[in-house]
Amino acid sequence: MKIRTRSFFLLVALPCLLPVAADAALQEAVEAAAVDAIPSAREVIDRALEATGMRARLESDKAVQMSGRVEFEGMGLEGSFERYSARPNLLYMRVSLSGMGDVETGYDGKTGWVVHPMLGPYAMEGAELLQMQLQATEESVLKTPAAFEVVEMMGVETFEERSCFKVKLVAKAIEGMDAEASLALRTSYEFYDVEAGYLVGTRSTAATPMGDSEVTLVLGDYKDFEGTKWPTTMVQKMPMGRLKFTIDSAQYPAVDGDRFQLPEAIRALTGETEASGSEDR
Amino acid sequence: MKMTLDRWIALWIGAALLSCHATPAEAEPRELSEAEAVATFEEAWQVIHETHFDTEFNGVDWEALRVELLPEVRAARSEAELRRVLGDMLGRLGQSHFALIPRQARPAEQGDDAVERRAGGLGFDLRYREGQLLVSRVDPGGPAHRAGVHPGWILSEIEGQRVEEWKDPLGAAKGLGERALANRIRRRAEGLLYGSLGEELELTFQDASDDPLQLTLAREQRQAVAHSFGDLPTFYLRFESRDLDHASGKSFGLIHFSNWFLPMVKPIDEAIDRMRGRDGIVLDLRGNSGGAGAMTMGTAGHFFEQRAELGVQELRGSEMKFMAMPRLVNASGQRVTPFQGPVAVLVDETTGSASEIFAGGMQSAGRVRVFGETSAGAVLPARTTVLPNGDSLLHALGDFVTSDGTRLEGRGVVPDEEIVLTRADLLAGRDAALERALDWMASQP
Repeated sequence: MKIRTRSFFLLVALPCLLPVAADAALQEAVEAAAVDAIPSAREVIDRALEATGMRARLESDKAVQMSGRVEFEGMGLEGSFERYSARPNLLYMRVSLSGMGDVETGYDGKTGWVVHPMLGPYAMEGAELLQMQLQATEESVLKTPAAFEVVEMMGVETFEERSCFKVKLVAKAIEGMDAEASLALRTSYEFYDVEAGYLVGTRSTAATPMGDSEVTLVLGDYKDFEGTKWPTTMVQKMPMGRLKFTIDSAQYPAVDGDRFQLPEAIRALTGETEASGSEDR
Repeated sequence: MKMTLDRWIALWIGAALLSCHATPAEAEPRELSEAEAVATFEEAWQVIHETHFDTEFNGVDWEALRVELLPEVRAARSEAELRRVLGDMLGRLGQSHFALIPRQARPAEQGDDAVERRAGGLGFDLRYREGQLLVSRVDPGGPAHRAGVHPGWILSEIEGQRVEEWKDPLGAAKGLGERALANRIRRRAEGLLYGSLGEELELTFQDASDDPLQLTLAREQRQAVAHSFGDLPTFYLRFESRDLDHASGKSFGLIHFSNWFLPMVKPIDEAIDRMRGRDGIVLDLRGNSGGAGAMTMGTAGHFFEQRAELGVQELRGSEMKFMAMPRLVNASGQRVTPFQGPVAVLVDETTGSASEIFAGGMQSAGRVRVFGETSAGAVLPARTTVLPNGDSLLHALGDFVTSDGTRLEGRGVVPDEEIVLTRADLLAGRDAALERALDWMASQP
């Protein structure tokens, strides 16, 4: 499998981790909110992209590499993670947790996959594949019409004791997907701190082999990494517990195409022998 | 990244939820303040209040129980006294997977000693039947084997403690059923038998002729792999696979493993790869007390071409399915067809938690035939939470219901064919459940 890197002309950042700094425009939005003049979802998102340097980052870099720590809070389970992404739609991530081994997942522009130490390898389908596509594409960062059929301001709502702009997102269904039946899995909500402007959380329904699962993600402790702010703590809250990710580093290296090759087991499953994926690579 | 983490946490939690029994180590007593005692009790009470899958708390008035026990907590002046009250609180639920793991037993507290403290054993297994602790298996070459101990012998005394005197106090105190009492007595014996390497223990057996026999055996390294998982005490994992020829001319494979944890994955996968050409596979889950629930899905996948539901884990306000995930690639990364032949599962009262999810789930899916004796009936998926005093609370978050609607908690997996373990069979060197399973597989086309 050979991946051509010449077309990786832009960074694909992590969807929904939009490091939003408060700026004059957002301050205006805050004031507008106080008088019931709430900005549009598009305005909140666009201003956030500009204010944080994310749009500039997307235009100047092709890849992002992150690493950090992971902890299943209260259970004594700790480990590390690393994540690589590259435009337009490549992703690889590995989480290592003590006693559990390494879980790897990725998307090569066509195939979304998981190699789990206990479940084995499998290729994603349906809503799980759609969600993987979303997290791998720059459209999901920019919230473009190419990826979302709905980007809608829902108003002001309290999230984690913060007053936030609530934005509803509905991703476009992929080929072969029942649009109506998959609506819940294509819908997510983002919460932008009214006062500070940061994205501070999301609520969504995750598609998994074990069924659909409601998930709340809480973002915080934004820090600057070479001109772009990222939330360095991300806590996943579910009925079974809290999983905390802490980003220690974020870098913007040249694209390493080998990172995104399908593992041998996934190639055996899909029957692919050569590089697949985005046509413009 | 959000979406990635969404799905990943689900995978992790599916894997990380514990379906196993923890055997707490003996704890050193420590005095504690009223404030620490109350804070620890309140945290334990609140965690269960917020996370128990049953908002009726299995019929217990949870609010009233707090009011009832708080005075005892305030009066507690030692960890032992507090643990007694907490044990009372957890025991009132009458459900599995509610337990207190003393901080001294947590790997984080024990450091490098965590493994060494329980690394020694005497090389034999036990089952409790009709008021007697029977030697059910002897490790070849181990201390017991070298001393002539034989399956079917009765272990009547350990370091001067008479086993027959345990039954009434343990059973009466907890109102235990037969299976639970058998497990409690067996675990109490194991708690004495396992320990530091080199220590000698005085044991009294009754041999095949019922003659008493006193032996002094020194602990040696267990034939097992030590494995840590979060705040749980160290597990000692055993794996065995072998080929079995049958009088019919057919040949079968047998896989036995003690827990569902990561170090067992590769040996199981490789064993199944070796057995793909066999006429049937036996999964012996006797003595398997559970582990990480997600592993049952990957193991089940060796026997299904399509995803199949084993059951549902019912949480408060949500649920998560246990799915057989087809294993279409072998350990060498080559495309394969999952095993299509007959599969037999062996269970008894020592088969617990994740093993029951697997056995009951596969049984309800119609993929296996189960032989032996009814399993433990202790199957609630759980997690641990560290309390203010450093103890770890194991608490169930969900109930498990098989795909045909059977709740296994308190019931257990009922074998399709009940084969009772007897002392006579042990003395004769027979494994009646295995023999019957092989006969059944031999009869299959």
